[in-house]
Amino acid sequence: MDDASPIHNFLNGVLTDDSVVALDARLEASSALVDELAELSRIDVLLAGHYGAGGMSEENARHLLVAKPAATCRKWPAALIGAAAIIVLGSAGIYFWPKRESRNASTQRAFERVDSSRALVPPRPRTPPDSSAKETDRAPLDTSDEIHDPRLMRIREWLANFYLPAIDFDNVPIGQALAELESMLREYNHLQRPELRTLEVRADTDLQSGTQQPRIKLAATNATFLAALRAVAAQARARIEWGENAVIIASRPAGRSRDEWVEQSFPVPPNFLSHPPDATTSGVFQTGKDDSVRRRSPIEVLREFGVQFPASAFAEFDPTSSILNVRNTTTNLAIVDSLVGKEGMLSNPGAMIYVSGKLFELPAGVSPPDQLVEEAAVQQWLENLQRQGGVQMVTVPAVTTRSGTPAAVDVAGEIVGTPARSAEWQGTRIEVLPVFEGEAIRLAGSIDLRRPDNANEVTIRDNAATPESLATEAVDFEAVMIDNHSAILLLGDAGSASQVVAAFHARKVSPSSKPTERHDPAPESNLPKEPGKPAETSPK
Amino acid sequence: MDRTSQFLKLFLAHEMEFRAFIGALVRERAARDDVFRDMALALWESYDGYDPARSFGAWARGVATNRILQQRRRDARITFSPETIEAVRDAFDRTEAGPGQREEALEECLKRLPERSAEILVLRYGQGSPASAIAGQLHISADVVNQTLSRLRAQLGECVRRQLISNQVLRG
Repeated sequence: MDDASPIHNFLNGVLTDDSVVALDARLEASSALVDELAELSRIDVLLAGHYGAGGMSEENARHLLVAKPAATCRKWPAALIGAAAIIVLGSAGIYFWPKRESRNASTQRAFERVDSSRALVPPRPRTPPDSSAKETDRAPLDTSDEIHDPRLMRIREWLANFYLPAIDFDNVPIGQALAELESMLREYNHLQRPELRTLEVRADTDLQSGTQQPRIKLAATNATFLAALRAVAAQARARIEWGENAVIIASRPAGRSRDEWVEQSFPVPPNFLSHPPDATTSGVFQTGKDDSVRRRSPIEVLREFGVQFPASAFAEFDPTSSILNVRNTTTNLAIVDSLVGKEGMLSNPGAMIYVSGKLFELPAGVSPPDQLVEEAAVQQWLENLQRQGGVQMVTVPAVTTRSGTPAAVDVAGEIVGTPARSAEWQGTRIEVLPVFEGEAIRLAGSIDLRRPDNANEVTIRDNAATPESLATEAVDFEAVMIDNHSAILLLGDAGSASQVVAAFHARKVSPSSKPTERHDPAPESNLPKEPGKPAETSPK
Repeated sequence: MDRTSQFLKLFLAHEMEFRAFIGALVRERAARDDVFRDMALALWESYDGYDPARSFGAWARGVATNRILQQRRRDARITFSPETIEAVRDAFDRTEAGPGQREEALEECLKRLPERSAEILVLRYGQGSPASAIAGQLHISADVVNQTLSRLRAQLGECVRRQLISNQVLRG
């Protein structure tokens, strides 16, 4: 290319050490070239500002001034970086598009989303299988990828908790699989971790450029990034090399190429045969169940993750002891081990997502907080309002569900009233669909407020209302949520001179969490009790 | 306005220029943010010495340059010689435009970009995708992506230069 080519490579961060020395010499000799470097660097930064998050907010900049790195450490404290990342996300990472429309159109859209529960996952074209793929003749696998450098351990820890909504590699070359994983790492880096923004994920030259590039077959939902990496490395009969700027799937030195037949037992989770795991939901919200999930044989499950079963190989699963017994070659057993061993794709019964919502009415003139605020701040804000007698809680539904599994609730026949005005009928239907994305949760859903066309026609009997007809009003929402934060949605005027506000909170919980358990400080203890009868669930 | 707010106002007005200065000196993209944060704190610590009669940008680059020169002996991320670092500082001092002028010029230039080019810029700068990922998405090679990005940067640089001159003429 032209004289500026090394400058472009420098700005792209890909100039080699030798080339940097050469560029340095040229820059010393040419002020025109230095001007070119300055100008192109400006363009680089302005483009990032234009297409990316834009300039820094004053609040973020203020954070830069309050903490000082230790004299011996040029990195900033992790807590400060975390705080900055959260603020950046608060301004750029969350987005709402509340829309008022008729119930029919809104509900239809919500159900379209809910029915295809993967709809929130960006469509990724399934790569066609390559018929020329053959089993490679590589050395058996040693899956150890232990690291001791604290910086690398931190990256590894992030990746062990970084969820990928869907992976679908159908016998694709390893280079392509890793490029796609790297792309997902960028896309779902909602915490804006600088290290993950630039971390390379690739295979080493031997694997990438060999005549028989390993092929990867892997289909999974809600796998962690680390588990996916381990599975890819195992299928390539390779190991993972950790660096500050790159995670590399590296080939192993040849020498142990002899494959032997071995029978081995592995403890596995009880729901091992239900991958994706059973789509169960529980809590105040309605329980959903995905009928497409069926029990499969252990061989079917393991084949989906790239394990081959030549003649005389077998796999049996004993549900009483949760033991998987496999006879296969040492190479294939190593792949099984990477899947069902610690941090493997099939070793975790699957984290759940706990979603709680608070719906409350605000009197005119009181503004809700910003769109994304810390849960504790919402609670404090509500308590303050309650002390002033200015908030009326409508309902507090909660649910624990799996990522990608929809949940819905009808809060029917509520009587909401204050001493200042007459009682009104008000019903609410809430649908939510949470999906793990990286270290965050994408929460989509809709809230439908139903009010009678004419309040005079409402009959109130046994503390329940039966309107003759309903005027409905629906609002769709979608937000990327980070831990300990609530998304605030203003639903507008619900009648009279007040507004209805929804505050949603979503977070990861372990599968053993009791479905109906309240994980947050119980709002009932601090806020007015719901009037009328409590929220009810109803079958879909 | 208190002292902190004064500093923040000046700092934020020069943020992009300051980032560009660091970007011209630090090769690794990931390290640039770290150095930027270190330098922001260094500026704040030195703010008592700032003379408001001087250009804030030039003063900030001076402070940052001194800090970078001290740091380069033990920080492998800063690869250029002291002479080059000083030359880069001079170049930024000589060619600094008023706050927001380059942004404004770039906006104009981006409007004239073909859709395909804008798509690559969105992937690279908006989503932070590496060349390999963009290549996969657009079904072209990573080399072509890198060449296209280089060409676009050069074209936009030239366009911004012209636009700045044109805007200066219009403003008299």
